[in-house]
Amino acid sequence: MSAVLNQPPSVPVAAPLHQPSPGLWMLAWRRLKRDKIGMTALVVVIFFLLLMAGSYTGLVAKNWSKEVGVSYANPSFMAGAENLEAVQAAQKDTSAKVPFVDLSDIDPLAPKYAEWAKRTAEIKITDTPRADTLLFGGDKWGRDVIQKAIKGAETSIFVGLVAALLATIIGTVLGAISGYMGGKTGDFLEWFYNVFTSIPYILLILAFAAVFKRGLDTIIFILAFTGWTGIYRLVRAEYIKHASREYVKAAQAIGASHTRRMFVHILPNVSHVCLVQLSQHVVQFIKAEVILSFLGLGVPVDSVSWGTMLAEAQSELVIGKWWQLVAASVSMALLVTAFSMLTDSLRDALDPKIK
Amino acid sequence: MASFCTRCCRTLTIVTTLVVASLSLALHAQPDPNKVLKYAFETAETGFDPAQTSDWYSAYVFSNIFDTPLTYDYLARPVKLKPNVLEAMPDVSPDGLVYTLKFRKGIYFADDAAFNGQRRELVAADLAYSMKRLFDPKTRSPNLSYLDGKIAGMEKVRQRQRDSGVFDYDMPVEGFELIDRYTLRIKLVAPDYNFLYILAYNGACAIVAREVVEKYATDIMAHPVGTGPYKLASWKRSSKTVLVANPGYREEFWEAEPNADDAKGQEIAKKMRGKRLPMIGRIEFYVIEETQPRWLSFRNMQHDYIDRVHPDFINQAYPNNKLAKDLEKLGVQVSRTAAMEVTYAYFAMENPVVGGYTPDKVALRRAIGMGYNAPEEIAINRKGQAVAVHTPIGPGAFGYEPDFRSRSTEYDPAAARALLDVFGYKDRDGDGYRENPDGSRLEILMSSTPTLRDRQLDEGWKKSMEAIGIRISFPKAQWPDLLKESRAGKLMSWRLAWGAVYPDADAFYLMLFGPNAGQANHSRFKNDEFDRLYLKARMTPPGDERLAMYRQMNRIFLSLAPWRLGVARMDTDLTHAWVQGYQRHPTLRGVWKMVDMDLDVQRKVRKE
Repeated sequence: MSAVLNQPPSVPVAAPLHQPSPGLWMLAWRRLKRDKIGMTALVVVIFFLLLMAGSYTGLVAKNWSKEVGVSYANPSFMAGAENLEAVQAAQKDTSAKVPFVDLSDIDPLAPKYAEWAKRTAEIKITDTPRADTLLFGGDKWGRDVIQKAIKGAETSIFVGLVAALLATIIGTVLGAISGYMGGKTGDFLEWFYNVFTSIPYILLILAFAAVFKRGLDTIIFILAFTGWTGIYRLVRAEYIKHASREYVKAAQAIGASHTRRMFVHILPNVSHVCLVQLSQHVVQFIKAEVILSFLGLGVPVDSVSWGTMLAEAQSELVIGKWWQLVAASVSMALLVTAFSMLTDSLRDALDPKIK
Repeated sequence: MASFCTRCCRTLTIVTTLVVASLSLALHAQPDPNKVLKYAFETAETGFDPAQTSDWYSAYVFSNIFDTPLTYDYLARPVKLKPNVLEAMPDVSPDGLVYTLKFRKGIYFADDAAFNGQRRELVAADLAYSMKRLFDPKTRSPNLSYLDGKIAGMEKVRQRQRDSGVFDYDMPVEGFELIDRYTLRIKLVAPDYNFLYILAYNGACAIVAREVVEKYATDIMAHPVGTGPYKLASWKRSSKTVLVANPGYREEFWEAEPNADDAKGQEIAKKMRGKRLPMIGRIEFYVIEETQPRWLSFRNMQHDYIDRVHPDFINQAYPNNKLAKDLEKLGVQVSRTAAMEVTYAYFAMENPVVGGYTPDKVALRRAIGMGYNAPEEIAINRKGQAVAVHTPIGPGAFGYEPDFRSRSTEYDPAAARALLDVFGYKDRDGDGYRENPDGSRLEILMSSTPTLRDRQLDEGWKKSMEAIGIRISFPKAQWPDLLKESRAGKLMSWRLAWGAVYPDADAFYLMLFGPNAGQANHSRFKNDEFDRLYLKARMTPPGDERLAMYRQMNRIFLSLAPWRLGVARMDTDLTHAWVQGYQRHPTLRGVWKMVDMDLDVQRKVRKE
C-alpha cells in the first residue's frame, strides 16, 4: 500500500519524459473500458439517465397521467382476456332517477339559479374514448403502465442521484474536517456522527419523514441527512492517513492554508472513495425512496415513483393484474443492478493499486 | 300513539312464540357440541367488557354472551325493536320521560366462581348497575355519550364522585327507581324517544352482574359473565376466541317477522321457526388481518362464514352482482346489505377559506361537492361495493330514503364549473387554477393519512378538483393525530366515515348538531333552525311528524353543504351451504343464536 501511495498518484513513476503522462482519470477510464460488464452497466445507466432527462423535459411520458384506457386495461398481448374490473366500472347507475329535491325556498344560491343554469348550458364536457388494451396494460384509472414506469423512473432516479450527491458532500466535508483537524473538532464531529448511527437507519428515516412536510425535496433532504454517516467514516479515515503524508507537509511548507490543503491537495487523492460511495448511495437511496413511498411517506399524490407503483401493485396482484408490478420491479431491478455493477467496476478502475 | 300500537304487536308476538314453543316440545334438542362455527375477524377484538369497548369485533363476541333489555327482530326491515329479557316493551309515560321496564323472572347468569356456587338470577337492579358503570370514571367508558346528561339524578352521583373521589353505586338515583325485584323505572332529564334504541345497544345496556365486575376488577375484559346464549370458553388475545353454548340458557325459541315481500327472509323463517336456541354448540373466532388468507380460509372451507368480503376479492366472490359460479356449485349463500353508515368529506365551517354561510362560500362548497366524481370512487376505488348516499342518514336508519336525489350531491362537473364562474372564482393568473373572488390564492387542504387506501381516495379527489380548476393538496398525518386536530377545529377538510349504533337519523344528525362541535360535529356546522329541529325530533315519537322534521333538516344540510357526502359500503357476507338461517342485521351484533348448521351437508360438500 504505502509503496504506491507514497508517490502522489497523479505523477506516474516511470513516465517517458516527452510524452504527456495520462492522469488518474484517464488511466481509470482505460481500465474501465477494458471491463465488459462495467461498460454494459454504464450503457444501461446512461440509458436510464437519458430517459430521466427526456421525461423531465417532457419528450417522453408527458401524458402519463392521462386516462387513455379502461380500468386495468389488458396488455395488448392479452387482448381477449376477461377484465371484470372494466366491466364493473363501465356499469351505469341504474337506480331510479327521481327528480332533484327542491331547495329554492332556503337556498342561499337561489337568486342566481337562472344565471347558473345559463352558464352550465355553455360548458361542454367531452368524454375521451378509452382503449380496451394498452401496450403493457393500464392501472386502476386506465393510465398507461409503461409511461407510468418511465415517469416513476424520473422521480426515483432524481431522488436517488440528488440525495446521494448531497449525502456525499455532507459526508466528505465533515469527514475531511474531522480527519484533518482531529482534536476537539474531530471529537465533536465523532459525537455528532455517533448520535446518528445510534438510531436504527429506517427508524431515523421514518422519524424525519413524520416530522417534515411532504414533498420531493423533503425526501431528498431526509435521505441525505440520514445517509451521510458511512461516507463520513471512510473519508475521515482517509484524511487521518493523508494528513501526515509528505506531500501535505510540503504544501504546508510552501504556505498553503488548511482549506487549501484539505480540498485542493488531499481531496483529489481520496476522491475515488467518494465517487464509489456516491454511486453506491444512489442505489441505496433509490431503494430507500421506494420503501418510503411504499409505506406511504414518499412522493405526493400528483406524482408517481416506483415505490408508489409497487404499493399499488400489492392489491392488484390478488386480482390478477400483474403488469404494474412487473413494469416497476423490472425497471428498478435493471437500474439498481446496473448501477451496482458500475460501482464495482468503478472501484476497480479507480483503485491505483490495480494497473 | 304509534308506539302504543307497536306495543300491542309485541305482546301478540310473545303469545305466538309461546304457542309455537309448546307445540315444538318434542324438538327440545340441546345445542350440538359437534356444530362448530368458525370464522375470522379482519381486525382484532379488544376485550369483552361492554362498558369499556366500542369496537365492532369485541361486540361480535360479547353480544352473544350478554343480554340487553331490548333487542331487534332478526328479519324485520326496517328494523324493529322487541323485548329480550323484559316481559313486554317498556311502558313509556305520555311525556316521554319515564320508562318502566318489567324483567322476566327465571333468567339466570351463567355459572361463575363469583356467585359462590349459587344460581344467580337476573334482576332489575343489574341493569341499573350496568348503566351506572358507564358513568364511573374508573370504567373509562367510550360509550358514556349515549347516556351522558340523559338520566335524571346521575349528575349528583358524579358530583359526589368528583368531591370524594369515590363513585357510589349505592347512592339512590332519581333516574333509576327500583319498584320491586323485577321492575325498574328509568327517568330521563328530557323526553327522548330514541332511548328505546339505547336499551337495545349493547355498548350501553348489556347487563352484567356486580359480583363478577367486583371479583375480577381490572381483569374484567377477560371474564364476561352474562345471561346470553353463549359463554366464553377460552381467549387468546388477538388470535382466537372460543364461545360454547351456555347450558343454563333460558328456554327460547326461534322467532322472527320477515316482511311479506322478503322471499329469503320468509324461507329462513319457515325453516327455522320454533327451534330451540341456541343450536350451534361452539363458535370459534379467529383474527386474520390480511385480506387474502382470510378469503382463502373461507374459500377452502376451513371457515364457515366470511363477513364483509373485501372489495379486492369481490370479483372472485360476487362478480357482476352475481354469486361466482364455483361458489354457487358449493351451495354458498349470500347476504348483501348496505351498511348503516355514511362516508363524507367535511369542510370546517369556521375556516376562512371554505367555511362560512355567505352565498359565495356556500357556492364554493356546493361546487366542490358537485365536482367530486363520487360515481368513479364507487366504481374504481370501491369496485362497485358501495352505494352513493344523498342524505347524511345511512341506509336502513329511520329517515333514510333510497329514492332521493339532490343537485348538491349529484356529480355534475359542468354545473360545478358554472357555479364557480357565476360567483367569481376565476383563474386570473392563467395557471389553470381558480382564485378567490377577491383575487387571493385558493387552495383546499384536505387532510389524509399516509396509507395506500387514503392515497387512492386522494387521487380521485385530485383528479376531480383539477377538472373544475380547484387546487387541492393533502397534508398527511396519522389518524389519531388528525382526530385530535379535527376536534380542535384545526383542519380545513377531512374524510370520515360514521356507522350508527341505533337505526335512527338522530344517530347521524348528531354530527351536524351545533353544540356537538368539538366532538362528533367535526365541521362545526351551526344552524339554528337545524338545531331546533334536532332537539324537537328527539322529543317526537317516530312517525310522519318526525320524518318531516328529518326531511327539512336534510334540506338545510344540502343547501349549506358543510360536507360532501360519499357512500355507504355494501356488505357482502357469505356462508357455506351447511350454515342455515344467517342474515345480516344492520345493528344487531350477536346473531349466532339464530343460526344452525347441518353437519350432513357439511360432510357431503367437504368430501366433494
